Amino acid sequence: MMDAANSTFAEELQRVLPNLRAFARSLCRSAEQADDLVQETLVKAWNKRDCFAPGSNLRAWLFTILRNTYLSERRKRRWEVQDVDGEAASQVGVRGGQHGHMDMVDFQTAFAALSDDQKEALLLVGAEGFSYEEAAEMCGCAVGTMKSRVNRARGKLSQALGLEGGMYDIEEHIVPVAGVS
Amino acid sequence: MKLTNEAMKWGAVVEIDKKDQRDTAKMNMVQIRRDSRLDGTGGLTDGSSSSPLAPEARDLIGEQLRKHYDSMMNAPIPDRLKDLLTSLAASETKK
Repeated sequence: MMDAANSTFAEELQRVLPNLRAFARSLCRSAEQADDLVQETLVKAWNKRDCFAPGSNLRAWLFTILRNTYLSERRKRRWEVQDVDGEAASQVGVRGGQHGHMDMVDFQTAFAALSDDQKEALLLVGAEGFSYEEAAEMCGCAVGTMKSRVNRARGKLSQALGLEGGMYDIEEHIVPVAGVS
Repeated sequence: MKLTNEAMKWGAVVEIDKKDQRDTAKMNMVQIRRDSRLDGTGGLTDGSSSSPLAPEARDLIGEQLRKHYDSMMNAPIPDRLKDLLTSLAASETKK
């Protein structure tokens, strides 16, 4: 790859860096792990930059690398995903008054309780603005599955935050059919 | 004896019907649970984008999510990540 192209690619990585950190930070719940994850993602992206087709969605490509790296590392190292020491919540810069701060802490707690699938679905679609189709492709699932994950994440947050209209959870309501072992 | 045979035959038919019912019910349960695992909705929705949440609740969750995410986005980038990009670009230039 030519120097100019490398320079442009490096600039593009720099531009997407805050997004990558935010996504990693939301998944890892530890600043140290999140930055390790972003670092590994950047190195992988750089080494595979020839595989990236100019003009296609670099952000989606990088997010896919980060997500796959996260899952791989989590399997290998059994990364801690809980915000045990409340580090994530405490580092969130909150604008507004005390009421706003309480809302954010509540949200952080509720968000931390979501499954990884639900977190990433909500982040990709709700925060990053990817389409359901793009998010589904990045996560390797069907579009309907992605929509359901987003809805279910919203429902859980709604319930946890005491908002109306939490979703019905069938797992809590399945009644075994009589005579079925 | 004939009556007993008849009764046994009917008994067998009833047993087969019960078994069919059990199998059908079991298959339905398996399907429900399979759907639940696949789409995360317990098979109650078709995976459409419609949400049972009130618009106000959705808006509030969206607002909180963006605040949460913006806070992460606006956090200062550690030097080690900036340095990494610089060194990656520089190492390629040297080649």
